[in-house]
Amino acid sequence: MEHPFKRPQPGKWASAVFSVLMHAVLVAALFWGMQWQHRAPEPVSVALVRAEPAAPTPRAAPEPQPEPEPVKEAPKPAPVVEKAPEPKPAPKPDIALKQPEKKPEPPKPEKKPDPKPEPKPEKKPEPKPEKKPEPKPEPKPQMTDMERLLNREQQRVREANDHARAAQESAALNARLDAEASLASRGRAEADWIARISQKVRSNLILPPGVAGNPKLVFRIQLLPTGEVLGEPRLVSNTGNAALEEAVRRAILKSSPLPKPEKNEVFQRDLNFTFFPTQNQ
Amino acid sequence: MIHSGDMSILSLIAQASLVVKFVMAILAGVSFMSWYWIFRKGFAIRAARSETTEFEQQFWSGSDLVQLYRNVSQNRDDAGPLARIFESGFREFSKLHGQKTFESSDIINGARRAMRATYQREIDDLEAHLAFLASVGSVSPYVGLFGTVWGIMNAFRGLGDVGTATLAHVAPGIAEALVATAIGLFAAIPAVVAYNRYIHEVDRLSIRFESFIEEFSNILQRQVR
Repeated sequence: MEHPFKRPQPGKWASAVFSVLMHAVLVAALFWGMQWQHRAPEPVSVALVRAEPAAPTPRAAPEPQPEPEPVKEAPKPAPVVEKAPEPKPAPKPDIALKQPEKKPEPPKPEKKPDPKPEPKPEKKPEPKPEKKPEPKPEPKPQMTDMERLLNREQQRVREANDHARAAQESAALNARLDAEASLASRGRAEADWIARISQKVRSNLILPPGVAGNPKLVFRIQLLPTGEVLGEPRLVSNTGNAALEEAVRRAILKSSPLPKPEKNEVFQRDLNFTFFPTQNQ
Repeated sequence: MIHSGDMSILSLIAQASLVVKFVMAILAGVSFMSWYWIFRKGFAIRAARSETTEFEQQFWSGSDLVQLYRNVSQNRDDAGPLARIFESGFREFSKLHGQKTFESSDIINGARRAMRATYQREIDDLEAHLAFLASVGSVSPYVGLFGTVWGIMNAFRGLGDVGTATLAHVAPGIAEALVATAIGLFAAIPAVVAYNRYIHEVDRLSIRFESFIEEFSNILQRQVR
C-alpha cells in the first residue's frame, strides 16, 4: 500500500506566491495608506487688496497720547532705553508683514521675558506701553543714535498717519474708497464695530489683580464672517503683564461669536483689535 | 535618539533597536510561513471536500462496486481520501472473499481494519501543519509583545538623559516598539482564524469518512452472505 505522503502535494507554489502577495499588499497598504508624518497645516495666505490697516493704527495711537503726559518723569529714561526696540516691531508689522502671514515671530520673543517683569514694581509695566508712541520728544538731549533713529522713525510714522488717508486713497489701491466722506463714515462704522467688540470682551473679562493705569493691548484676531474667532488671538503689542494678557485672550475666546459690523465692508478677517481693559465705557 | 518629524513605517522599522529588529524579522518570517500554510491547507482541504462529495455521489448512484474499485485504483492520487478508504477496504474484502477458510465476520473485520488504517492516514494528512498555525496564533503575540517591551524600555532609558521629558521624546520610541506588536498580531490573527476553521472542516470530513466506513461495512456484510 502506498504511503499517502508520497502523493504530489498540490498548491505548493501557488500558496507561496499568494503568501508573498499577501504581505506585499499589507506592506503597501501600511506604506501608502498610513502616512505617519506630521505636517504643519499650511497657513492660508491672503493678499490684502485694501490698504486698510493704516486706519486702525492712527486711531489707536492718538488715544494713549493724552495719558502719558501726566506720568512722572523719573523712571522714563531707563524704560525708554530698554524698550527702545519694542515700538519698532509693533507698528512695522502692521504694514509690512500684512501679506505673508509670518507673524508668530514678533510676539514670541517678547513673551518669554514676560514673566520676569511681572514681579517687578508695578510702575514699570504701566508706563511702558503707554509711552510707546509719545514720550520720545522729551528726553531728547541725552539720546543715543538708536533713539534718534527711533525718533525719526516714529515721527515718520506719525507723519505718515497724518497723511495716510489722503495718500492711500490716491494710491489707487482703494478705488472705491476715494471719497473722503465715505472713508470717514467707514472709519466711524469701524470704530463702532471695535467698540461693540470691546464691550462684549469686557463683559467676559475677569481682570487679574494688580492692573494699574490704562494698559493697551493689541490683539491680532482671525475672524470668520460670522464673527467667530478662528484659532488663538495673538498678542501684537506687549504690556509686560502676562496675567492680564492671558485674561484678555481668554475673554476674547469666550465671547467668540463677536458682534458683526453694521456695514459689511468694514469687516476684516485679520482684525487688529486694540483693547483697553480698564477703560469703562 | 534622533526624532525626525518623518515617521513613515520604514523609518520606524529602521530606527528600532537591534533586538526589536530581530523580533520583527522573526515575526515577519513566521507570518510568511503561516500564510503559506493557510493557503496550502486551504487548497488541500477544499480539494478533499469536493473529491469526497464527488465520490459519495458516484458511490450512492448505484454503480457497480467492482467497476468503481477499478476506476479508483487506476488513479489513486487524484481520487480523494474517501475513494482511497473505499479502495483499501474493497481490496482487502476481495482478497479475503475468495478464501473459504475465513468466517464472514473475519472478512468484514479485516476490511474494516484496512479502511480504518487508511482513514487514520488521511486524517493525519489533512491535519498536518495545523499545529503550526495554532502555535503561531498563540505565541507570536507574545513575541511581538516582547519586542515592544524591549523597545519601550529603550525609549524610557533614552528619556532619562533628557532633562525635561515631553511626550515628543517618548512617542517615537514607543511607536517604533509598537510596530513589533502590530506585526505579531498580524501574524497571529489569521493563523488563529484559519486554525479554527480548518480544524472544524477536518472534523466534518472525518465524520463523513467514519459514517461511510460504517455504511460500506454493512454493504460488504450483505454481500458476504
